[in-house]
Amino acid sequence: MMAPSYNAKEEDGHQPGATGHGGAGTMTNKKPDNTAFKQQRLPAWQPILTAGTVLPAFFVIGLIFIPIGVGLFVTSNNIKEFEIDYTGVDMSSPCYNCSQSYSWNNTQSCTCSVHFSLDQPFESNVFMYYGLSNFYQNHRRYVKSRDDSQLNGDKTSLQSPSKECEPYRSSDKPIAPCGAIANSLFNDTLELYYIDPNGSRTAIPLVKKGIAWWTDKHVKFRNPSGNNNLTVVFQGTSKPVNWRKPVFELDPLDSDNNGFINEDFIVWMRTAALPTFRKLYCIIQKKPNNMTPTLPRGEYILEVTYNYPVRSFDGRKRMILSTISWMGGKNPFLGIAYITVGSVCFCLGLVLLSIHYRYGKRNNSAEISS
Amino acid sequence: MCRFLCYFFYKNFAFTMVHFWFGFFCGFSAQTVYDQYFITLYNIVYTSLPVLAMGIFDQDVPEQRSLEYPKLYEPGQLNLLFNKREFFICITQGIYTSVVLFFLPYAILSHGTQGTGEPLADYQTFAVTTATALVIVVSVQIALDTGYWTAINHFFVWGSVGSFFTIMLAMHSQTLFSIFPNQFHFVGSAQSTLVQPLVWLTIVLATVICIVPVLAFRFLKLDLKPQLSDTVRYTQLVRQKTRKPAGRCMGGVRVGGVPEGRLGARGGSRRSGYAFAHQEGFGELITSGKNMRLSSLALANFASRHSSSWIDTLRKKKHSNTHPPQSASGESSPAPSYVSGSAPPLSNSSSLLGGSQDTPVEEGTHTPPVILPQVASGPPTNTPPALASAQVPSADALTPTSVRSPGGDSVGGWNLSLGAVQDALFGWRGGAAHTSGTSSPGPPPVPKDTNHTV
Repeated sequence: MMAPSYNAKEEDGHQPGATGHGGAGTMTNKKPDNTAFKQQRLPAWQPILTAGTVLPAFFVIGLIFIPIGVGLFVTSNNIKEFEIDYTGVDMSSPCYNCSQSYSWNNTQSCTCSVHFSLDQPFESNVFMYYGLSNFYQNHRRYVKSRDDSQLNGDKTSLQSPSKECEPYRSSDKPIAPCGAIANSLFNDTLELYYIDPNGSRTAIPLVKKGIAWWTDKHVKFRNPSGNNNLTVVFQGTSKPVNWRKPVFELDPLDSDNNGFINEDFIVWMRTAALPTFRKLYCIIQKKPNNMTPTLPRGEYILEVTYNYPVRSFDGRKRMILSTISWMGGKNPFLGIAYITVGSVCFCLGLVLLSIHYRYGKRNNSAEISS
Repeated sequence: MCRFLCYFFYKNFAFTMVHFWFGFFCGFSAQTVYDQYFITLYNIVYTSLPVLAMGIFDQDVPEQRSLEYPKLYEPGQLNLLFNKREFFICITQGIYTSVVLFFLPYAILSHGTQGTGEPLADYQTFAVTTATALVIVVSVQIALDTGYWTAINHFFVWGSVGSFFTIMLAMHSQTLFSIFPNQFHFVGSAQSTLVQPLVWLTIVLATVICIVPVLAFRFLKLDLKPQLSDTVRYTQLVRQKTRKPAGRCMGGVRVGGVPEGRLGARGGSRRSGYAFAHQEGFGELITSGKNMRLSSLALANFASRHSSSWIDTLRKKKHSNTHPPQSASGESSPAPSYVSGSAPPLSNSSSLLGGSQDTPVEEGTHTPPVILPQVASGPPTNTPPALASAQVPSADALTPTSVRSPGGDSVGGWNLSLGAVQDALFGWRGGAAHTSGTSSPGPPPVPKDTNHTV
């Protein structure tokens, strides 16, 4: 068994045993060339998992992860976050009436005021989010229902949107922007007021720009060109079915925020991955003198223009206020996960070390006993 | 081959089961977690080449070792390396990886935000994070699985990871979007996602969580229940370390004096196991000796041209088993001679395999060519003439005693023919004082080997 094949490997041009010696001259040689590549003699590195490599690796991982986890946890704990649900499910909730009396044909929008108080002052830039629950922006038919070339300002797509947008493609005129994502644009308006200790209300300035991704705002979403007057540009199209105003009236005062490049619209069009999500609504800039906190401790009022119905699918709406650090918002899970994994690794290293010393078969000789 | 298969199942399960878990969170609408182009390219570009290189170039033991230890072939024959249990383990590992790869980004990104306040929980960031984590985890896994790193393996593994990032950044670039806006939805995603520290922290954590259990299991298996191939590899490693000084002496004829154990010493494509043992093999045929008679001639021919390492080792084994240590010219007992004898023949053969320039050196130290005309002239009758004619062109000597040894072990027919050959060749060999007796099979290669090993 070994002789013929060993023969075949070693002897190029020599045929194994019986056939070789007589008519060797006339046989064609089908053997592969005797190169390092074809004979598998390439130089190589052959690592082996020994105790000397694996156990220090475990300890190193443990020793690195635990401080990282502690750092992340401490950073996350220093971030302040406040969340309030304003759906109006309970009868006692301020927005209950608005949620019950919703109708699509309402010309008069319903407003409600929610009182809350902040226990701690919020320093530096404060970010206000709106959050939705049980809203499946990651459903496949929903995600497909958009026309990116129309949103990029392509004139042809403006007048004949993509078939993916069905059934929100046209209603006697082509819809701009088409699709289910655009149609379900979040249109609640949130305003924040601070109540002084002496009872007077101060409106807190909310910055609605700078909330979208740069590439979205400047590359992906473009208004159709041709005229500065967007009403003219969007002539021949109609607004989405469930919108109250057409797209060129989203922000008539600011031409950089009107039409398709409206930042609220862009933020909404960036679909969320999970059924419970939050989207950036506005930024509360920090005070220029850096002495007073952006949101001091005290009482606040949230004025909601309740336009967005979520009760029909048992969804929830909430408003979130949060400060930001280098690692983003409040995220205790990451710190805890790192600490856990680091300690598990370290303990595993200790366990393996003890097993290795007690039971491991050490074979330091160059011989094999069997 | 078993590792190749196991890895294939593993990487595909890790890739696909993520969609199963995502189904619970997307209303079971079959929304994909990854970008559609990633799905297309994953199996073709990002993960195919490293495992192909591993399948082609992998050697768990060098060829000489696999000849020395036929027991290495046992796991292949017993179908131990890829059976239902092994398959189930591969699948479980794939599912575990998919759980980690989905739920870790889910938990971290659902509340994560960028440094500028925008939330990280959007679909495209989630897709890029999960895809990157997947590619890195399966690449680390193939790096763990590859036990034999040639330059091609390095190139394929690092190249695959590099090509993933290159292609992803290219597809998420503005250039492609401006040409096909409806095809490349992900414009700006990779550039925006991969600069977030949170995303990289997620990826590193996912890699560690997926790989640490694998490392722990493999280390425990190696430590507590090493298989023969593991032991052989380990002893090979130890031998290389001890042989490095000795190897330099042999390095004179070699290019660069490289320690011979490390580079170029591995010849052949011997594998110590098969994925599937299809049939019972050729055991019956071999042990009956039917195929041995004629091939013994080739063996003698072969042995005359090249070193006798393989034959030596077999013969020594046989002698250590069956014959008392015979002998004569001051050789040591078979067991130590096995050790010392096996190392030098190994070096001989490796030098031969590494380059043919060694051959004249080797052959020059064998018995002088003067023997050969005598071989042709006066052989015993039962030596086939083909042997003599084959001997003449080989133009150098042989270690006829090395031819003898396997014959003595295995079967009578082999022994007979070899004995005849040996008689023929041995009769007039006295000059080098290698052997003690003409007809008794003694282990002369030991002194002979020591002649040319120092």
